[in-house]
Amino acid sequence: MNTTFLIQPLIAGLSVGAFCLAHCFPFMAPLVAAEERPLRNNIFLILEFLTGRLLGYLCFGLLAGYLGERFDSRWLSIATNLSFVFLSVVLVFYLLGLIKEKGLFCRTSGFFRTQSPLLMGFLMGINLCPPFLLSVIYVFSQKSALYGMVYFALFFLASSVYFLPMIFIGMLASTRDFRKIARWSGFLTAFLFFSYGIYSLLRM
Amino acid sequence: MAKKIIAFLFLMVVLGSAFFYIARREKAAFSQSNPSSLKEASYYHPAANGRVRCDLCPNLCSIADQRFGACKARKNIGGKLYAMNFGQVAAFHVDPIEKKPFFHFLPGSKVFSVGTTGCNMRCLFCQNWEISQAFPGDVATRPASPEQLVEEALRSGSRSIAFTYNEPVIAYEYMLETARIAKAKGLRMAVVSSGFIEEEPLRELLKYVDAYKVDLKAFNDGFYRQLTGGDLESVLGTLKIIRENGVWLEIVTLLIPGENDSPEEVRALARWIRENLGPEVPLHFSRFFPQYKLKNLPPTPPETLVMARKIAMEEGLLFVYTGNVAYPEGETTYCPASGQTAIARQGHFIIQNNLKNGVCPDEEKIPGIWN
Repeated sequence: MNTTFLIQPLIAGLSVGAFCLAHCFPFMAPLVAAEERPLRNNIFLILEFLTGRLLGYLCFGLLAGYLGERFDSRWLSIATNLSFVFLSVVLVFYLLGLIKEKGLFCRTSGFFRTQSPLLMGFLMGINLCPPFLLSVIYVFSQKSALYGMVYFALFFLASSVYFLPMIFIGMLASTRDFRKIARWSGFLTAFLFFSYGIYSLLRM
Repeated sequence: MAKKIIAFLFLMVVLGSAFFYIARREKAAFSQSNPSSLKEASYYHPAANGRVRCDLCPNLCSIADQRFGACKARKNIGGKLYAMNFGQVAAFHVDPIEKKPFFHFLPGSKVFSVGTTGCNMRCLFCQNWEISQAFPGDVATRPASPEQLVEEALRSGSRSIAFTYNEPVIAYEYMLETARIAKAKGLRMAVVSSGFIEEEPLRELLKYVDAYKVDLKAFNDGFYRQLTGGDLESVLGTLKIIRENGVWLEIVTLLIPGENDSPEEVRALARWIRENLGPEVPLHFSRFFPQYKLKNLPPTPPETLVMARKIAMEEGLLFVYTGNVAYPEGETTYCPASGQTAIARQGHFIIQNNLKNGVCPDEEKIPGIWN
């Protein structure tokens, strides 16, 4: 494994990381700011979201590797629009308290016991941005599982640097007014993307 | 009060980024699906069931509605074929002409080099795969009309425009319009291509082109079909047509270890060039480095390039060069009769030029376009 192969994903991650953050911000910010949590829990929440995003990427990446060709653009659009709809629904459920964050060391009860940030991260992850998709194709063209894993891990690490400031947005949630605004921003975001997702699906 | 302002700003940023994201997606979707903003492709005809048949290159794609051709650049929208990469520049640079490489075309001059997205081949060793295997929208592009390209080329002090980096043929309409305008403004036009194009569009294009560089990727059809997705016969046909039309032609062959570098294949390639195109057509042997899907292969040993040059000259070719390797003889143009140095190069730069309007000190004329 040469150094070029190690540097390439780091550069790719750093170059598109800001785009990734802009992409995730409307969903991620209300998620972080709608509830008051200790800093450590905010870090875990963001890590969970990012892990979900990585899983989303990997799912598409694996499928691309399996097919060995580009995705059909129509199916990619359908998947993206469906993910908007589900993402909006999950966000609303979360903000209404219907989905609770799963405790790290204890089990919570209830039908919706789930890792919602992980799920939201996953749904964001399957909204693949073009530079990442091209990376996926490149990685799988190398026909090496080790190369693929190292590439994804480094790309993910580099692009995640841009998400670090999100931890501090959670600190703003110490006031009740701010949490209220954060919830409303989440509802409005969910409404926007739900409507947009449905509209996009209908016009296809 | 300050907290309320921060909360309000937070709301605005969240909603603003949501709107921005949606607007960005919509803009991309609109530009790719609204026929009024697109350029209709030339060289296609309607086929059954809403399909169209593209007649631009030997792939002759039969394309269903809302689908792209194999080139990833031409799309059927409602029974019409559109050139989706028209006016969308994925890469542009002002390069030395020797980088293309053209050694007998305006030596030492600058060339305004333009690339779009897509390709009608799928070379496993492509060095520009990031753009050549991309759909429009997959990579960042910059809109530029043919007029703007010509203006920028003039401003840059370039003497020619080259469509290069990805396969220019699939940006046919863009290249043709640019070439027409460039001609009128006194700029020369160069094409750097794999030569995988149908005869009719090629003949039309050649009216506006001054120099054509073709990658003759190998001299065996198995290589073409397995490693490039093209075919040898079509490319050889293109080479003949370019010569027939009097457009300046240079050929590049990338020698890949174990794939196309046997002495027999090199000899056959050189012989075919001499017999069908003439001994004065420059041939460049280029060194392969592991790329894209052929990273498992080693770089071409420099000795292979030296050997290939020797064989091609034995076969009677007058101007045989080597590229991507430090070998001064292989970068030098010699006056064939006297053996004197006409032009000495180092990398992409000229270090000595003894030609006057293409004429050697011993009055021997070297074929090419010199001014």
